[in-house]
Amino acid sequence: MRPEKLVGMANQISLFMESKTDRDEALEGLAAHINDFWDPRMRRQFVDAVSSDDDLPARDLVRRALPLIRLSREDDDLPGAPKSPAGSEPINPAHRD
Amino acid sequence: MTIPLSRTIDRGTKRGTSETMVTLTVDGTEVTVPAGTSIMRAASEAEIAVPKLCATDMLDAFGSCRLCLVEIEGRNGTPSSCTTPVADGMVVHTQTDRLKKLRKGVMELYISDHPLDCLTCAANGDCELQDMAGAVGLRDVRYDSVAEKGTHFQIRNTAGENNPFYLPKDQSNPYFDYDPSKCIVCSRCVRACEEVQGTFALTIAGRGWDSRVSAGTSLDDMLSSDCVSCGACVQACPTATLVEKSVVEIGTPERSVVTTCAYCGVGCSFEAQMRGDELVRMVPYKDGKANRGHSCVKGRFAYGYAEHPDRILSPMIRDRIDEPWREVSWEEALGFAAKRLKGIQAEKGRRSIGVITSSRCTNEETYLVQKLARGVFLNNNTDTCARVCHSPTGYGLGQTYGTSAGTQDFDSVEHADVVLVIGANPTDGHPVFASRLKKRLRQGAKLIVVDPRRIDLVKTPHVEAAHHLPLRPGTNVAVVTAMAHVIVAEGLQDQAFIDERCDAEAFADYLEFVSDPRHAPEAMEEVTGVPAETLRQAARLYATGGRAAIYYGLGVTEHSQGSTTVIGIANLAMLTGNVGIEGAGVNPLRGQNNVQGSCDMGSFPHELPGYRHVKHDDAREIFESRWGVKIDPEPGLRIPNMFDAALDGSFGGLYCQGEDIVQSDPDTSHVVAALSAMDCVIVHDLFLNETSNYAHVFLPGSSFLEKDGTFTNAERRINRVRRVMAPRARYADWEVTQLLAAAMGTEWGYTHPSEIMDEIAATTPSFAGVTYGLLEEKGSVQWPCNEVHPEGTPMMHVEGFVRGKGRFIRTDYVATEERSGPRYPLLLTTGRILSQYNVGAQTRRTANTIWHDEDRLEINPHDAENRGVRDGDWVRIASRAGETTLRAQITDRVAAGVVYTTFHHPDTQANVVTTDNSDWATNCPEYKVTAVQVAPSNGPSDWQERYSDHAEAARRIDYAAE
Repeated sequence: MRPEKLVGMANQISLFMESKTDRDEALEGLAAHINDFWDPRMRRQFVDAVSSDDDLPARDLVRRALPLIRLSREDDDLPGAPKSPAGSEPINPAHRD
Repeated sequence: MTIPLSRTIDRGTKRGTSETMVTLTVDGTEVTVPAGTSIMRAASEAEIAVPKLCATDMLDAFGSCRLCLVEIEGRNGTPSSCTTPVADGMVVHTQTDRLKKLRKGVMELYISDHPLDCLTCAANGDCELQDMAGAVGLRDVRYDSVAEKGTHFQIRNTAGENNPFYLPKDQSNPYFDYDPSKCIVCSRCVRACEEVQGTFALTIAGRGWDSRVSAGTSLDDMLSSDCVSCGACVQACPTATLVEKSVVEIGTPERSVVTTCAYCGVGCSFEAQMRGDELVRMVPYKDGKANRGHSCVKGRFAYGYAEHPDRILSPMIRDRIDEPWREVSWEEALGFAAKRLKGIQAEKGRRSIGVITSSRCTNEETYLVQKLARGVFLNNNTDTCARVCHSPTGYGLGQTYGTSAGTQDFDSVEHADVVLVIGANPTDGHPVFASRLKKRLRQGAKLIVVDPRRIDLVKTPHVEAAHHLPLRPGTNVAVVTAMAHVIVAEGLQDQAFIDERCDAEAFADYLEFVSDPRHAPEAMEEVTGVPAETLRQAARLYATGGRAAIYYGLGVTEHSQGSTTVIGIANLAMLTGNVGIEGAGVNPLRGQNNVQGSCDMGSFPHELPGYRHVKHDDAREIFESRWGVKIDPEPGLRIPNMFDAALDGSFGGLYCQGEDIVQSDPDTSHVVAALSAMDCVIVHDLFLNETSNYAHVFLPGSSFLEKDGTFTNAERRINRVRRVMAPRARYADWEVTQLLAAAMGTEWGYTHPSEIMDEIAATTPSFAGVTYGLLEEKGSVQWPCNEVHPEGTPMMHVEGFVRGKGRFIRTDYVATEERSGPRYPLLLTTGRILSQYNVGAQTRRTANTIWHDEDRLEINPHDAENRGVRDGDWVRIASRAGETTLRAQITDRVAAGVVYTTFHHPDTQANVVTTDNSDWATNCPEYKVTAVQVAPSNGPSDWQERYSDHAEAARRIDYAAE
């Protein structure tokens, strides 16, 4: 995917998260959203693009979230579930029991 | 459940709603009914059918036919039983010598002005007049003088002169005829149009002998009048005066199967009335809990697509998309598809293929398609058309309340005092709900409309919005947040509710946020274009007007801040305590028949059935142990991501069931480029749709009449879909998916959709109690249906929110990047129209095109004049994504600076213009805001011509030799 598009999407998420008063919550919320909703190849392309190109117009929070983005390899043979980052509890606890 | 036609009893009037019960005696039988019930209804409940003509339990009592007379001991006269309420201890006689004589006299008068062509009449065998003539024992008609004066049914009078009272048949409506000569002026049609549909298109013109049913003015016929062809009048008519053309052509049906409409998210129940395996007509089912016996033109009449000659009945394949199609056997097509899909996976990896489930197919079919991705492809690349409509609803309501669904049932609107409609156009998009809403508004409920366009609801006969907030497209969040600001600033919030039900910390944070003066309507006016005072009044009304319900549609979700608006709406309802009570709540109006169901069934790439994220071991384990596979814990690609990945070369195969992504998804040229880059596109559909132009395999689909299953409507109601005829292309859709899985090497072994539902119930907590047996018994249930709620859940969050405490979340307004500027000074927004549905694949193949045969561009007179555009002119509409042409319609429904069109016709290609902007949380496309320029034009754009040439070439079929 085009790096500009991925960065644009991340910036949009960031703008929502930035309205939170708790900065840690905003950062974790941004990373959790990307980890929860972006396919691994998108996350890989995103991290590669942003970390290698300082000119990409990524927001500050987006850059700071990079280390929290989970990376996995396509050829991983169905690894066990990664641990959920904080702030990404299941949407509906009632559906879980 | 198959019910004989006679089982749909018409009890004449509605049952009283009082809690006080009254006992009376009817013909010696004691019967107890609620106070306020009519004698006619009470008699009917005691299995005594009082003769009647003008009464029907869909309508209020009228008392005009004088046939339902009864005698009451201790009272004088012979009152009509339909208009006389019961009283305690009342003793009623329905059959006395005096009554028999009176009734026979009344019937004789009716019949003296009625043609006696019963044997060749379309209503023969299904005529209440005929039944009543029999019931009262009419044997003779003595009034020759009627014929001398001029009846209503003879072209000439007895002297051979033209009869001025005779009116010819009105056959202008494509689906039903109006034959005035058979009319008994019972007013049932007029009352149905008023009370049930709320359109007021029909009236009784003239007085006495001149009284005639009239559509519109005397210059109108049915088609040119305001009639919306909902069919309520036809259903109400006791004679052949208003009759379906299909009954005229085929004859009366002999059996009736209850099923569910396959159009919008209201999910109306219908009786498919059959003769043999021929569908004679669809009649709304009175016991259907979503529609309560009402329908719209689509569900009632526009089912002809199921028999349309365009339907493809043989599987087809081709190596490349520039080749003609080749008809092949099912085995060959499925083998070809499986081989290609496996080849792509071998070359590009496990995550290089995916599926799109259909929000038009059944829950069972959708479940199987996502199971194909998760259990056979071994990835989570499954998405559904809900991505492009209501995915923000799932996210927003999930975050705030804990469930991805509306809170109420449709009956709830009957208790609403204030209704806030945001970004929805119910009279066009969800007509049956609109009729129920309008009924409540006529009873006095107040309406607030938030919409850039002056939709019909803003002002329509006997309904007028208290406030219309004509906001600038793309500023929903600003408006909703400003409303919350007013509520908080003026201290109108329901603090007791908030303290008891909501997360205190989150509320404190939200309070601080929303109190900020930058959210005041005065501060936002510049952005939203909504006068601050209007917004304040609307907010006050919503907060203080009593039970307040929010209904919203795609005008909320299809924005770059769609999810934020949904959160804002959820905040508003919590702030005012409008959750968990009748008449209130947050109600998304779903676009397609099974959008709710397709989301419930785990169609999204990040969650398993029942909204459980794929990252959770315990959720995956349930399916892993049942399916015997390892499920990928990583989220898959969403539809727009699939396109991007296809252009990257990392995604090469797609199984697309029942969705036309080329026509319905935004930025068509991007979609087309992506599909063209794939190695195997499998389209499973009724027709060669636009997407199939880029497909390698075509698998014929089955219509909703050809399969068993369930749909889940916008109120979480699981309704049965029942097979009334064999699949025309041999297999129901669920069977095709099962065969594809088998061709890929996995045998599932389902023999009936009920077994799929059993698996859904066994794996998905909110469906735990659902079985076909229960649906048979109850008619329908609303999930959650489990041990705690064995009969389902009409209203959510009653005692507390599903997630525990309701969570307020900040909703900062972020302007969309799609802004008008010098190059593209207008904002385009899109929507739909009553007679057409979505991409029009179904409705364009019916007579509905008589109402809407092309998409038009609505433009304000001011903008039109600036550009030298006249009404009906061809105009070019261009955005940064592309351009297309269509004809202009000048109207002040849209404000200056805003243009509007529908997207029902592929020739228009409205989505060539829309961009790839999308919702921040869900990637739901921003269909509702595109900066455009409009200019006069000579005809189709280059794109349209190229596209049309390509489409024609791509649809070539080399028919197999016989």
